[in-house]
Amino acid sequence: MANGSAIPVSLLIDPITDTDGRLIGTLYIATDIRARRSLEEERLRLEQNLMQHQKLESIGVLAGGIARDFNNLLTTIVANATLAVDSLPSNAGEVEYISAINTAAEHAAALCRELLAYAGRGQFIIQPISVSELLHEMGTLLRVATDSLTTVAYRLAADLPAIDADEAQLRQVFMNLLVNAAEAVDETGGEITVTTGRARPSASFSTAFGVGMG
Amino acid sequence: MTRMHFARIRAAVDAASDAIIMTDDFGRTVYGNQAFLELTGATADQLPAAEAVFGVAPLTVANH
Repeated sequence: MANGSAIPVSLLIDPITDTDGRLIGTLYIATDIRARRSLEEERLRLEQNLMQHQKLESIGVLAGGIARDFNNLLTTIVANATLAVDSLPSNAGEVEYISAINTAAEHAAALCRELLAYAGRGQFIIQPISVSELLHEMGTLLRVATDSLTTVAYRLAADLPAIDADEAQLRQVFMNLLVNAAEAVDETGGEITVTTGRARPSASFSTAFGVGMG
Repeated sequence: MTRMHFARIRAAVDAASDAIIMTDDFGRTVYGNQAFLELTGATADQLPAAEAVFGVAPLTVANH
């Protein structure tokens, strides 16, 4: 290249012959393939995005399946731990250990319920939902979705009116927002703030999304 | 080939976006189109050796 740097080219070299077939020179045709390369890189990036999306989708289905089975197992654990506590004298030292099993199993069950909700149940149930309460409930799952260097802060308005929505869908929306935010945080960590509140949509927003004022 | 025909081909090669050069049977660069001149910063009077630019030696009667 004119400035001395190398650029990638696709090179065609052909002999030039006269009418008798004698070699009289060489023809070089060099095609600059930078644009083609960047297009290929873009295509590759899109393909990888799509694959990642499909992978996440199947993980969601898998997680839903596992969560159901796991929930059943936890029921057995909790039930047996409770029976074990009941069969021991109330001052037995083991009660404390078994209670710890119970508490951990209940936490695991809560995580399971969140996973089930995240994986979705395949049908929409529109009902009044408190966005702040839902976000509060999702705390554990949202924390798991971000890496350990990222902290999630909540500023949830307590007096929000309920909205009509499908809970599983709404959970997915919040999850996606948080995962996107977590991906935008650089590797040294940072803070993601989740805020809920009231806002009056502008006229153009209302028209674009078909939502009413007030 | 008529002069007009030749001029048209010459114009097409000159206007091509690919860099095109021709050497003679001794391997000397005898022609470089506009894209080649822009790519290398060379002038039409001082065309660089093909091998120096593309790293591949031209075909000559001796090695063909």
